[in-house]
Amino acid sequence: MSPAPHVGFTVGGAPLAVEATRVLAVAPAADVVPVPFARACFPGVLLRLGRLVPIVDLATVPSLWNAVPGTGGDQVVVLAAGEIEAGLLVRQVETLTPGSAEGDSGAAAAPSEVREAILWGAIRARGRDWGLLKVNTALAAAGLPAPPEPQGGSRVDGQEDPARG
Amino acid sequence: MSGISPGSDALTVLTFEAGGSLFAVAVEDVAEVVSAAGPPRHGTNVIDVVGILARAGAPGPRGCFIYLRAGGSAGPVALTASRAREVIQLKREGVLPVPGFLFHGSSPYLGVVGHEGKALFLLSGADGLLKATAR
Repeated sequence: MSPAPHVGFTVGGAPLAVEATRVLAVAPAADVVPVPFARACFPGVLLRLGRLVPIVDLATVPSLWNAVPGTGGDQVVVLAAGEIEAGLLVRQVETLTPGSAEGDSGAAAAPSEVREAILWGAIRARGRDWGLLKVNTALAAAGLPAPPEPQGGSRVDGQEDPARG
Repeated sequence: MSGISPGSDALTVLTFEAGGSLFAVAVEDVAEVVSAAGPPRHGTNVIDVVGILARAGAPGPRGCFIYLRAGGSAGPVALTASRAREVIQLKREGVLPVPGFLFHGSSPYLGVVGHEGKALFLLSGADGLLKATAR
């Protein structure tokens, strides 16, 4: 069985990835409409299919980081989190197929600047290690009403899910 | 919803600019628009929208005070605005709700609607604004 495709991006310089099936859209950050009086972690909203999608800059949520990251981004990745949609402000969006490139063998290491609590583990793709983001947990830390993580979480085929006992 | 006539889908609002953003407040919530050349009336609760939204330091000029009809016992309430613009009608179905979790407290908005290629933020009435902007 081939590994599940993922979408990779950086937040505050940290390489992160989510399963491609969770990604609903990718948009330029220029499309984000700032919302006056909103909390600092929400740079604005995106109008999508007649609804407002909240956009989160995870880099501004201190509890998610071991080291203070840079903030901002030039793209938005819109994700499904239960019944809600939310976007992450990111940079360097790319599609990933773990294990498909030279240099993808061996154990992957999660980015050290990100708290382990929001990572399922890590994958290696395109010769680089990517932290597997717990989307719902990260969004909940930013104050969104995201549901608990689904059972089984996000994992690469053939790789142990570090979130499961 | 404040500002919506019974049996009508139309919402009549006064639009104004502040801090580079476009806002609106229901005309029935507006008591008066007064130049900000002088100070606000004594005892007025001023929500300094222009000052709150100032980016990179200095706020832009405060062109007017928009006095609101206060329903509670808080006394007169006024917003600062760069400039008042116009009275327009909005279609209720075009107003999108703004998620409350975007804010520290309650949402200061009844919703947002597209207008002239920009986002027009429809503010709640005086009591809601005081609650939402209190820190």
